[in-house]
Amino acid sequence: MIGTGDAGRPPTSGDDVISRAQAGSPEAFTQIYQELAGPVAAYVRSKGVPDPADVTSEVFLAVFTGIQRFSGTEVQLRSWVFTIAHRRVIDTWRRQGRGAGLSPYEPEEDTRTTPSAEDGALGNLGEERVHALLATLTDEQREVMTLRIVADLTVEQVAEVVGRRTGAVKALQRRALASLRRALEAEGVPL
Amino acid sequence: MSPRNDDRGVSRADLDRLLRGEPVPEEPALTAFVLALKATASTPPPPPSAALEQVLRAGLPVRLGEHVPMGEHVPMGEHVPMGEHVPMGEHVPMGEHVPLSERLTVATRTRARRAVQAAAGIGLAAKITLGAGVAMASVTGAATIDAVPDAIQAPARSAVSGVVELVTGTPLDPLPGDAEDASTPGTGGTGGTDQSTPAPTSGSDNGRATRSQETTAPEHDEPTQDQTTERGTQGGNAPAAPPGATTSEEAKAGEGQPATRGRSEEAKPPQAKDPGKPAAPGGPAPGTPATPGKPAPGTPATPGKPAPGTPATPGKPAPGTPATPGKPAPGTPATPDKPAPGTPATPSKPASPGTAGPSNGTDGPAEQGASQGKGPGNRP
Repeated sequence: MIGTGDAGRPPTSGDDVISRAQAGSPEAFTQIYQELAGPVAAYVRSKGVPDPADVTSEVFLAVFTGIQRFSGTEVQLRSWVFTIAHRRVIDTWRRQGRGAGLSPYEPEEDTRTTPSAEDGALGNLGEERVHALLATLTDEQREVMTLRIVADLTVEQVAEVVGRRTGAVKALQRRALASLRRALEAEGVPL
Repeated sequence: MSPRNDDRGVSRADLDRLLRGEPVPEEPALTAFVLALKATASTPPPPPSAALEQVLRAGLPVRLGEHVPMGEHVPMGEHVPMGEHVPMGEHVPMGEHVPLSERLTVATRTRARRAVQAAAGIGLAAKITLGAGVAMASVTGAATIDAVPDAIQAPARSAVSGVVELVTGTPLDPLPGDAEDASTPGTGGTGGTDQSTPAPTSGSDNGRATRSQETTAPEHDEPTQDQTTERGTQGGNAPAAPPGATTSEEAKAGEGQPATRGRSEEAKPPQAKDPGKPAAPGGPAPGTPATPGKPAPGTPATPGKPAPGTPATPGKPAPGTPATPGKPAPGTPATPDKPAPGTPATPSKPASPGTAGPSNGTDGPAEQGASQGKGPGNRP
């Protein structure tokens, strides 16, 4: 995996992927895309972008056309890709003239059936429900949680992407987890 | 809600484990949420767009000026013109070659577009200044460049002369039209001041001829009598200055007519003194310095009507031709009735104005010059 935030996880591809991509190698582009397209698309979807597929493609086109100016390691490449995705999402919302389309989650308005205790096992939370829970967070908290969990970035990398200090990122993620726990308890999700 | 309440029950260690996706038994709900959120990243990515698919399949189009490493595959026909921006989502079709001329045209167009955008972006005062500067440069260039036709150069030169004189008080070179008007004998004495300075004496053609002849003159080290005579008869150039003689002295002496260009200060006093004194038919008294209003004796005839005794043939000075400036005509004009033997005025090389050669004093052109009574630098 390219540039994962976990220090103990050895990267599976070397720096030659970056150098080959900088040389314009289609194979290197494909490798980067296959490894990072899923997290980037998940990040874009979590931001409530209307057409996440197009935005994801735009992100990678920007990455590939600008990769010659990039200098760094694989970990930095991952952070750089999500920085581009972060800015692209912001540009998308600016073009549409409004903010993120996520609305706060209202448990009373949720007409979905409550899963049974058997179905409420771990990991059975669907993506829509996850996004609904994310909507209960503030924009900053949601951004930090998504980058930490979906993009698998470290606190320092997240701070670099969102342009905040690491202390602020840590505080945001703590509050986000506390808020999520309250929302989950109020929802009564069987665990 | 205070941060203290937010942090309730979530230790730092559990928080790190949760965010890494590790199960935390004390926080089952949060663990489920984090796992579900992390699972969204494992879903298959959406299909790439056409542009991205093209990049993934064939790489990026190679831009001009970029270094292509050895051994790298460059897709055939993928050329992007220099300076041309390829928008996101677009690609250059395969096999489409852009010729060099089109690329240059595109580059020129791009530069022009940028220039227009830059000009449009400046303020109103800057635009006015820019426009005035361009107009001034155009008029000045039209006035000074010889390649410009006279029909354009004359008004431009007039405008520049007016502005220069207004600003500096120093008149500019005479207008070609003025010089053309003053091309009659006895009026157009221009030479003598500076041979390197173009002296528009009798129209543009004559002036150019004079300049071209001037350039050939310095081949000789010492101006001989022939040469001085030649100069004196060509284009109104004053004879070669003797040692110690300045050009202004030449002009004041009346030898070869005002040894200045145009409306120089040296040329004005004679005009002011004798503004309307016509040269009587028959010519002034011999030895009278040739003023603009009083052509010197022996003022050459017009090209079509060479005066007898006009020293027209180069190399054969007419007797009495004041060869050395600084020597005012000492009352010794060439004998009118003694023209230079065998020296008829060649029509192809007419005696130019300012010739201080002797004349019989009966020529019409002298009268004409007297009637005009103006130097070459007169304004319209």
